[in-house]
Amino acid sequence: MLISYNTRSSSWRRAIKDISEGTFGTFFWFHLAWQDINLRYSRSMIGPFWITISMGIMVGAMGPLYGRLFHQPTGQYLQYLAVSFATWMFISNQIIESCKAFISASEFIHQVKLPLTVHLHRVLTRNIIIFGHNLLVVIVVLFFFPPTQFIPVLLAPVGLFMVLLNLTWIGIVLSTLSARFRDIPLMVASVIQLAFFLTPIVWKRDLLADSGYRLVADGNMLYHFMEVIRAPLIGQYPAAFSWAFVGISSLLGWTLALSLFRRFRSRVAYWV
Amino acid sequence: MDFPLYSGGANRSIKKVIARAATGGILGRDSHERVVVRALNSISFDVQEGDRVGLVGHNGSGKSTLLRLIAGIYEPTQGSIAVKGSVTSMLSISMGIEKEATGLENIYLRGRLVGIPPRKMRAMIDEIVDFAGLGDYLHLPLRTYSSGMAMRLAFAVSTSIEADIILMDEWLSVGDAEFVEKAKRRLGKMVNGARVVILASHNRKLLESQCNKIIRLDHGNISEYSEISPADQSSQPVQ
Repeated sequence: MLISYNTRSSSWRRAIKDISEGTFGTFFWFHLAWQDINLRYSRSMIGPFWITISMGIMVGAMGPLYGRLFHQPTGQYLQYLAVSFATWMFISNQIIESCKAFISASEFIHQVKLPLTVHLHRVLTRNIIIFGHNLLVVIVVLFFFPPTQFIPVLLAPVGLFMVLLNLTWIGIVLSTLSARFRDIPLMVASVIQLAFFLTPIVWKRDLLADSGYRLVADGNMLYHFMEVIRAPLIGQYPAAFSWAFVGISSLLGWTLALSLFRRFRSRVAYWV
Repeated sequence: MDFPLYSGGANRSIKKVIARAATGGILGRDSHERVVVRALNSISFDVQEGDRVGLVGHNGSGKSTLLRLIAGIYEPTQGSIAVKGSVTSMLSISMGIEKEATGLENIYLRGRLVGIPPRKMRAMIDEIVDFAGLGDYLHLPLRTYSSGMAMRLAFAVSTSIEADIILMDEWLSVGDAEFVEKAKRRLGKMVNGARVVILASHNRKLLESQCNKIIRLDHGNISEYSEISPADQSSQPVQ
């Protein structure tokens, strides 16, 4: 339902209105996300838990072997691997799916006036719910191999919030551009696939020590996103550099996203 | 209002756009001139509280596009539009329908789309189910419904609200005779409570009997704008 609008108002105002109304004015995205999840449950016995089970199997199978390959004590490595997988699957799927957020909502966009942000939040919430499913594996592993200190664990929600802030601006940029250029989703998928190998997920950053290759991790935005969620969960404090990186990327990223959104928000209905 | 048409793969591919820019057009040369369809041209009019506006015109004249513009779905490429009040657009029967979800879930879903929160919807469920004649189908997925049932459900939910500004497109004239009778009354009630109604139709007679302003569209241009005094209007209900 649309209440009062005027295209003579500034495009900044309309862009901000879209984001604020889409996030706080309506919680439609929350219901749509749960509907998406329920529909995944509806025709199969276990629904999204299939993903959880497959993740559990991967951790269980890879854990001991790769732990041996990287000369890591099994318990510690299993912790690391379980958290890494759950977090990476969340971040990577979110980035890839957010490309198509507007494209897959094209019918909605052509029929109902809703803030575009609603479609983005739907995708994000859906992935958060699935992340929640996968955290079950993490909880099981952490039960057998608890984190060494408990205080850092309290930082995990903070890290998650910072990552969500970043994923949102990334979503705005990618979905808007993908509505116009349809090869972007594929390019993003390829980049993410490559990033899996270039980011410390299966291996630990420590292995790079101070070698020239440490930039592969330290300059890698995705690595820092992972760290602020992963490190607390295994009982370590994320490096200050990671916090700084995540903070600065959200500032710069939001600036970029807002300028892009202001300029092209009204074009999305034409592109999609 | 101009619709861009991105024909061919080259205009939708960022790789090709970059290749063209980087090599001065040697690589990736396809038609990079955007074809543009002017759906609406030089449209200008005011609608005040109490107006019932009828949009008439051939298929493709821009009626639905204009309604979508007023609904806020598209923003004009040139010029501006100002809308004051809550708009309920009944433009498309399949708006927000989720085929895999049940009838009940779709009622809530569609209700949210026209601005009815679930708590309010709960009170209206029985009346809607009764009006639409869904019976036991309520808890079955929408893909099992006949098209008539699906339409009745959509219609029932869309006409449950009180709106300031109602936008209606022609699908409302679909349905069997028995339903059309019921629909007339329900729609009439809703229309009477609204401040502004904008209705698009092929049927000029219908519009003349219901509306106080008629706008005729021809290939995106207003070819006629007439006002009808109340004395000339008959007292037939909508449809």
